[in-house]
Amino acid sequence: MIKNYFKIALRNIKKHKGYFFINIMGLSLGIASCLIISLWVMDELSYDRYHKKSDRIYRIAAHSVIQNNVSDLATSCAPMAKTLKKEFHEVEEAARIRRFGDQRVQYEDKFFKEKKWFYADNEIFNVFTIPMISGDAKGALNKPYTVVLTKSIAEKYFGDDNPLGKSLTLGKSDYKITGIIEDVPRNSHIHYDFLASMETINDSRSPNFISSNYHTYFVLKKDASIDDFKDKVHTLIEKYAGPQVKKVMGITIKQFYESGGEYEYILQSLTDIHLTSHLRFEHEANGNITYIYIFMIIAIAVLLIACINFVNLASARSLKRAREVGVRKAIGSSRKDLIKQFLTESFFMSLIATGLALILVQIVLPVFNNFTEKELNIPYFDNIFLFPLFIGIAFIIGLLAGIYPAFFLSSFKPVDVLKGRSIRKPGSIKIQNLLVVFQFSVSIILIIGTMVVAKQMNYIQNKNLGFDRDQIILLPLDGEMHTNVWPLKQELSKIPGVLSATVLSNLMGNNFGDSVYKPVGLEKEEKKLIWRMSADSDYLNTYKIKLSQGRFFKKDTLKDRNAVIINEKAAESLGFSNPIGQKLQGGRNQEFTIIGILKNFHFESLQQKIKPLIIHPLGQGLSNSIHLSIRLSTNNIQENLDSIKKVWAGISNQQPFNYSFFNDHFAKIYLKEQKTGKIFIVFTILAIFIACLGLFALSSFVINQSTKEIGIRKVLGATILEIYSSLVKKFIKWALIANIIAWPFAYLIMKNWLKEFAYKTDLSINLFLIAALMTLLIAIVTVTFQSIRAATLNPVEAIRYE
Amino acid sequence: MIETKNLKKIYTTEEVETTALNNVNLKVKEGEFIAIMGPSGCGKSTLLNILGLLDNPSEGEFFFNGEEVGGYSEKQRTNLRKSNIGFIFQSFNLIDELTVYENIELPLLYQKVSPAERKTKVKAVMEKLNILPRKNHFPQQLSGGQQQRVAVARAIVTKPKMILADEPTGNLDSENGDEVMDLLTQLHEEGTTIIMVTHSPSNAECAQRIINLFDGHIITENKKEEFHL
Ligand SMILES: Nc1ncnc2c1ncn2[C@@H]1O[C@H](COP(=O)(O)OP(=O)(O)OP(=O)(O)O)[C@@H](O)[C@H]1O
Ligand SMILES: [Mg+2]
Repeated sequence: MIKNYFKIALRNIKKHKGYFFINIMGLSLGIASCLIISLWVMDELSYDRYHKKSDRIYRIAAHSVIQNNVSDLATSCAPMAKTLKKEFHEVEEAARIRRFGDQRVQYEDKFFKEKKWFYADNEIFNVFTIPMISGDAKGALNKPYTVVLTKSIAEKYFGDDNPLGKSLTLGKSDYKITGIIEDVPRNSHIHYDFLASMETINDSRSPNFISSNYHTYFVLKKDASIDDFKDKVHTLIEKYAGPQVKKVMGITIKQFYESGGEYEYILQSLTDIHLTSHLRFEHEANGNITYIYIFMIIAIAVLLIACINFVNLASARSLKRAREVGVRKAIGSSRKDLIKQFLTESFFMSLIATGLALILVQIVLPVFNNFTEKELNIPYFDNIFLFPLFIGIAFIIGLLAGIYPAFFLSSFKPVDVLKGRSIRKPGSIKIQNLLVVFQFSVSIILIIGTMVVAKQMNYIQNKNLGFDRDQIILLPLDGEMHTNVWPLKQELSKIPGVLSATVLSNLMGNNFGDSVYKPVGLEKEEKKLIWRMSADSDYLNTYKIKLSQGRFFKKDTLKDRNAVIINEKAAESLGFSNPIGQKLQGGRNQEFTIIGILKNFHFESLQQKIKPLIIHPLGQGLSNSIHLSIRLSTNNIQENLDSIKKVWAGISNQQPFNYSFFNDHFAKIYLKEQKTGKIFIVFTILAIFIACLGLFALSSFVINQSTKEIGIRKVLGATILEIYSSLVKKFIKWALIANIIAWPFAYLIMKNWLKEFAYKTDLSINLFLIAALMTLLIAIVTVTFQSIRAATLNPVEAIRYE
Repeated sequence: MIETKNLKKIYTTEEVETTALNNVNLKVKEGEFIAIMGPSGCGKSTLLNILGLLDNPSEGEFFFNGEEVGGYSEKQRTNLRKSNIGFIFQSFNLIDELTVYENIELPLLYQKVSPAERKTKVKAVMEKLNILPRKNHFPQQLSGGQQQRVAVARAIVTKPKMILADEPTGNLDSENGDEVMDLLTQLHEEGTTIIMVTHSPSNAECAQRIINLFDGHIITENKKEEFHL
């Protein structure tokens, strides 16, 4: 019997190729999208789960509000790890990690710029799972000036040689290699290439409980409860931070709280960090749980749309199948047999669609991986359950898509259908209508969503940042170049194509440090937290930042040694009525005079609101990381770059010439956001496409039902304009109802999504109107297309249709 | 074999209530050949469908092999139908997607007959109806007469006790029509009960008994001999 079902199914496929093509294509596209999204979601959820103790590892972060400045740091203070272990018996182990980015690391005559050099306590081996390939897993980082390398770094410096016992040079110090570890898995919130001993850093022994420079992780004992621990951990603030606060700020912790200050520790589960933590000083830009939800919704929507198509298409053919149902019933088929037959057919189709989807996924995944920088794959060979799982999925989809047509078709009465009487049950069309409206609604939500995402991406790309980022190239300068920076700048300025060049401490878009300043002479001398950087006199004209009041630094910054420039936001926060010429008191009671106010510009990423900023002059005493930014004229870029390279070669003492464009640096900050946005757009367009297929099929269903009528009318000499217009009206009505249903959903979802951004586009009514217009267009186009087909049909054929 | 008592069938639609059958009392003995005649719309097909267990009567009693089946569920009717009754329709009603062979085989599949047995049975009936050379054709590739022969083959392949035919010759020319009538006569001679609706007096002549319906009533029942008078 099953064989007979398959035979019928196959012959039907052969006979109605177009119909099955649409049906199977829609379904396999739906399944493929769903699979890819699922792989992506599963990957995002898998972060940091490779640690054996992952469910017991926490990071201690800090939330503070000091003078209305909210600060959420991923880091904590130097003594935190040891104090946790000492104070709380439920802490099994604790360890710190601290990153030292952009280091020049040398072995004999080989040197590389390294971005992932970290210092870590030896205890890190007891917290994280770090498989050691060679070396002493127990005490590799016990002594100062020791370092362990990942496998690929070891190969990079030593090739096939054994690195153990050899030394790498960083700055003026040699680090002895005491171990080789496996590379950090991709799905980790932190990626280190080097782990050097924390013992090396003097500051790591500092008792300072207020400054936060260390990422601290701890393992909770198996029987301990994190909720209880959360309540306990705050006792540290009073006991350790309290006395220090009193010393620095001159107030007790209690007074600090009473004045509106806040300070608390946040315990973050390790496995939550990647998706939910967006604090200052994260190791890497993390993912976003909102996207997980949005993408899961899309995956389900796409699949649902594809299944609804299937239902609609099956119903579209019900007229043709009705006679078969009647005959089979007359011959002795029970309703159960027929349900079985139709379910077999839909299962068969979903099996084909699943197979095609798997092939599609295999083709698309490399592109997708390339784009998302992931390594997603379907582990066919690792998991024996996978194959049955896919069959199971095909079965469920087949059931989902086939159950309604099966019951609908098998309910036909042989007496009715064999006579060719109308088989439309009063209720059946209503369900069809419902499905169309649903299909339209989902499409509208997706269309609006796509437009909002595209608009926001566009907005960020074109947002006026308050400075000009075009035509600027960046030259990173590490320690060795510090002594040569001024001659270098001078030589570069002589190149005609170099409009200006500036040396600065913090690049826009990167992290900025902050300090406390006290406005001098005000009635209420309240300390204010202000973000801080330093730059030389050419900063303003190189980045074309606008001055609002006063002046910028003089060429000879030594003359402005105690002068500072602030931005408008800082001026507001400090509270001077006329800030120019006023004094600020910084750390070590140093006094600074405000000489200029800059218009606000986005020195952090657009996710952040603009903060108060202070700029110190960058003179001879350079801070430890500096950048050279060069503004080029718009013509002969390559020529100018060559000249710059020549100058660099003359001064740099064989340092590699690594330049980059500011715009690329800028794009990188939003890369993740942009990419996720693009993935979203691709999948929604796909979903809309599948939905259109469904609407197309449905209009064909309605028109098929009237094909005979159209044929007869044509024989009688009538035009089909009437039928056409009534159909268009019907579809337009559905589209309009769908818009009314979809708009509130779309509004809420997109409003929520936009919340993530500090600077965002508006949800204008235009987007909704465009979506409405598009759905109306889709409705009219499909109906028209199908009507033309029906109209041009030879009337004789139309009459014979049944 | 069949007995109906005060059989009534009422169709209710939104606007009207049609009494298609009214107080039909009928007895059919095993092995009988009966023709049902009457003007269009008098209820012939309705009666046949009820007798063939495709439909339920609205009122009255209906005995099939001595059992009251008027109130049977669809499932029960299906079970009874598939082993006892074969259908032949005016418009053939073959399944387009199945070949001649597969169409004929279908009722056997529903009866869960073994493959080997199916093969011999289908072969035998195709030989008998002279359609063996066409066994791999699809219905559209056959003439009307050939299609009806396939339909007859499909009706008789399970060797049903009773065959119901609703205007089996209605779509055929006289030559093909006669051929089908010959087949029915032959089946009757082999002992099958046959009930046939027809508009053609000459076809009705083949039957032993003619039932005349008018407006849902049986008005006369003629034995063949009487009819000749
Ligand atoms: N499903 C139905 N719903 C409503 N009325 C019906 C239905 N089926 C049949 N009828 C009505 O019942 C009456 C008898 O119909 P039936 O099909 O039995 O006639 P018939 O004798 O077979 O006619 P013909 O010779 O034209 O085939 C007709 O008046 C018809 O309109
Ligand atoms: Mg009839």
